Amino acid sequence: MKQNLMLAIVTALLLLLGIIGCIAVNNKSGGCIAVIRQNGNEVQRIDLSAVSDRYSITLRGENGEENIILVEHGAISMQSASCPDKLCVKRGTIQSSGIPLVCLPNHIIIEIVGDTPKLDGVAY
Amino acid sequence: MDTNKSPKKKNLRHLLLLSILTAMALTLFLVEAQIPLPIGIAGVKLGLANLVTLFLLVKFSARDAAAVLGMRIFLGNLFTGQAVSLLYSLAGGILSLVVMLLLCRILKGKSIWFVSVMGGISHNLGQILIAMCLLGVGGVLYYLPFLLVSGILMGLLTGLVTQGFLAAWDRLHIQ
Amino acid sequence: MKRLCTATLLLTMLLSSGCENRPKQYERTQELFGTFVSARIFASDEKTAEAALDAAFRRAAELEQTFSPTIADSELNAVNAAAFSQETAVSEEFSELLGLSLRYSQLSGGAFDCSIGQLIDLWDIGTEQATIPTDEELHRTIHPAAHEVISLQDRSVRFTDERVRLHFGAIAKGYIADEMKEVLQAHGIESGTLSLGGNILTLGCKNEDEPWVIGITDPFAPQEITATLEVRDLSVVTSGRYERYFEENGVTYHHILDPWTGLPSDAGLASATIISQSSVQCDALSTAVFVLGAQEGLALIEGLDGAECVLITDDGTLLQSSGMDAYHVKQVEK
Repeated sequence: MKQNLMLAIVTALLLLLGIIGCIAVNNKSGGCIAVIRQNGNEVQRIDLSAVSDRYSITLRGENGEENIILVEHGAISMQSASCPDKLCVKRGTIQSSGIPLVCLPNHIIIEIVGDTPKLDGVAY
Repeated sequence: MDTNKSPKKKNLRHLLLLSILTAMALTLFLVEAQIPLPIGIAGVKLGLANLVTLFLLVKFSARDAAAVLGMRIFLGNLFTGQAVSLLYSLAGGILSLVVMLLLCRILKGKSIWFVSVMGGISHNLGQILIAMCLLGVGGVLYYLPFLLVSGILMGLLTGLVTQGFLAAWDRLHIQ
Repeated sequence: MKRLCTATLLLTMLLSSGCENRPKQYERTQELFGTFVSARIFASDEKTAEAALDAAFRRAAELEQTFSPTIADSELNAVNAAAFSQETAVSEEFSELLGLSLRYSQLSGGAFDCSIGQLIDLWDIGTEQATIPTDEELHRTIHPAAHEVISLQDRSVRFTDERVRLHFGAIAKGYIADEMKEVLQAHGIESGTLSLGGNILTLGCKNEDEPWVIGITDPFAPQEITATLEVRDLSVVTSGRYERYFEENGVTYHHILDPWTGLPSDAGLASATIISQSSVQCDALSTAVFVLGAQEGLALIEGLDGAECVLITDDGTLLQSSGMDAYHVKQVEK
């Protein structure tokens, strides 16, 4: 019984740590530079605060994978993907969130890095 | 053990049991794949199939657990048709099996739920590690807290179910 | 064990401190009048922010219903159908925006013209049906400037030329931005930015006293910026030929039409950016200056109080009006 109690405390502490971690990651002050990587190689680096018109980037993989990334002012999202689970598309738009946008099956990761945005708006 | 039964018959029984358990694990794995979770985070899932692995670890041997786990991962990914996810499943499966095996040796008595919790965490950790290798960046580490929490919660759920299952098994006196 | 507890506690305290009471940022983007309208505001709590954003976007949608040429039962379409044959009563907003339009028409000598709806429909730039009109078609639609052929008496409008068709495409977004700002202020919002399809309006300052940094699109590479400027409580609007255009036989036809020739304006500017307290002034003047060209455009701006401009000529030169120093224009190194 004593063992169970000890283990319960350990579990509770781990859970607490995890929750704190979640909050910390969520509150991570975001930057404005989106880094897109495919198979670990940096494909593109975009200053999202300097994007005026929305546009899309199409990434093709060696085995016919296709991911279409939508770039907007201050935001980036996966518009469509050839992966089976489409988790990356379901994630929606990431703006400054600390959690990267990942498409595991197609080995694509989009992270937002950099300090506070340089621009508050773009006139066009 | 029932001394009346020949070793050959016992072997057959054992093989049959493993097959049934593999089918069970596979069913759980496939059913679970159909349950959509509203979170767009890769790796967050129930992990119900771990129930079978855990059961085998406790009642039988690590070898049996590994065999069923291996078959389940191989067949499961064959059925869901995701070749890439085989690597993720393997990494998570092997790491969690090792961790659970060690814990089963160390811990005494009825703390199966904790073994399952640690199994859940290590499964997710294994997946993150393989993702880091495949994606080539540390960025996926930001997922760690989320997968830690989900690993604990889902592991707890599976662990408690396993405990109930083990209790029922003991009552039935199946060997 | 004890140590672990202490560490966890400390970590919790560390994470929860330092972010209390400071206004938080709230964002909303919505598709209105064929473009994206986004608001980013600072508010003390979510309830205030949501209420302010709801009200501001509701106001924008109301005004779209009034001024849209694409909504069949808009007030604009009703007025266009009736105002030549008879005196037509209009709403207060309609009267106010038309009054402003006529003022800028007069001020710019007709370079900004809200009565060229027929001409705009003829080209249909920005749609799939964009076509080059014939000389004869152009000739038929060209008429004297808006302020000479529209009479506005209080809340009553009458066109004195059959060819007049009102179109507020070059001014309505500015008017709506000003209205949205007013609504936000009425809800106690003191700081934020609005973007109405690239028309920028800033409210107050960023973080108490810092300026907002606004980029000006590079007309030759519209996905990048060519310069930045710093503003407080001001609006920044750019008119450029890169915004909407179509190509035929290797010639590019952009959407800012010269009311005198009926052709896409070709006065030597690639884009014109106006900075002023009033977004409606920015919107109207950016079109007027673009159509007038560098020399006349600069003269117009210098003659006005509270309006400044940044012009980019066809050869990529950046020109500024005399009061621009206050806004710290920085060209982006390329």
